[in-house]
Amino acid sequence: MKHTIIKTLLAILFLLPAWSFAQDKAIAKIFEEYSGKSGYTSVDISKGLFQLFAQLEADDPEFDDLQKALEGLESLRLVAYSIEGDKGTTEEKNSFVSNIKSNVPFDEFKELMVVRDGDDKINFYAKSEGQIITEMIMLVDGADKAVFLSLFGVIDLKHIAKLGSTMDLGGMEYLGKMKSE
Amino acid sequence: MKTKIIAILIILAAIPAMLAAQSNPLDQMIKKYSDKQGFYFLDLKTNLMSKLVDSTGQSNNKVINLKMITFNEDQNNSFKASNLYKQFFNGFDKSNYKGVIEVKSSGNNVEMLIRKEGDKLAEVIIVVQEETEITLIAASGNFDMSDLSKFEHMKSCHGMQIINQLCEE
Repeated sequence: MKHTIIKTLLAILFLLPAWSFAQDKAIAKIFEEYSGKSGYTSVDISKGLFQLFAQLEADDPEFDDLQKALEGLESLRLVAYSIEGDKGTTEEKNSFVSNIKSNVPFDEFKELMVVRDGDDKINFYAKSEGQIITEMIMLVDGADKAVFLSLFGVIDLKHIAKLGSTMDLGGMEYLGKMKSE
Repeated sequence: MKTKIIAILIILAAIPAMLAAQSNPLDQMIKKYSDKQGFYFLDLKTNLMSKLVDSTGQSNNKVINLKMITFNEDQNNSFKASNLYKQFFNGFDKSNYKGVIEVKSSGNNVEMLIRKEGDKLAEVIIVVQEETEITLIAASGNFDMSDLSKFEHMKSCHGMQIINQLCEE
């Protein structure tokens, strides 16, 4: 009995990094597939930049919130598709969304909230270790746009909405919905 | 003894080559294309830059060297913007740098790489590629990200708006 428990524990311990890797791989695959593709905007920010901003000194309380949101982050990746005039098609947007839905292992995440804002449906998902949120995903499916955002690191939900209002990148504004809700 | 002298002579002969290899590839590109049409250059020396930083009214001892090349194919079709990108990174030891941001949108790419010395930021490289234009920026010295945003009064300089946008973000 004792041996079986130890074996099971060891198997779980060995499998954990593999599960985590597979999940990261699925998200990375989405970014690789759409980064640089015509009609898509992709953003990839690594820990180095967050550390630089976290080191800045400022007396502005709003900037303090931003620093708190940034200090634990390991990476931020965003892919957005938008239909503007004759640029972009609904078919391509729908294909992008369905590719995300079928390849990202959403069942490993907990749905945090769903926001409906006009034609836009915004889903927030998170993964946590104990009380700490270590990964967050945002998927926006709108009439003329789709946004997929992935955050890795120690994520503070109280301050993360600040990122959305501060970073002037297409699609990030949806992160601000976390705050209003 | 003879071997030692030969070894010393080889080292002495190799020093200029080693120094050239270590210098920023932007320096070499500024020299190479200084009289070519379609290129814009910015090469701000330490002392001048210190004065610009001090223009905020606060005394500080921050030193920034800023170099920039912008090339537009529409003004000179004998060069390709994509070739300049390759040329820059061929003479550049990426292993000392960390890519911190990459933005791709409709054929336009923005990359930012940093080099740190200990905990301090020592150099920032920003590359902006558009369809027919490329901008390469290298800032080095004793500074942080907020110092770069102080160049807002230089917005009229070609390419400087990129630094401001990145710092604001």
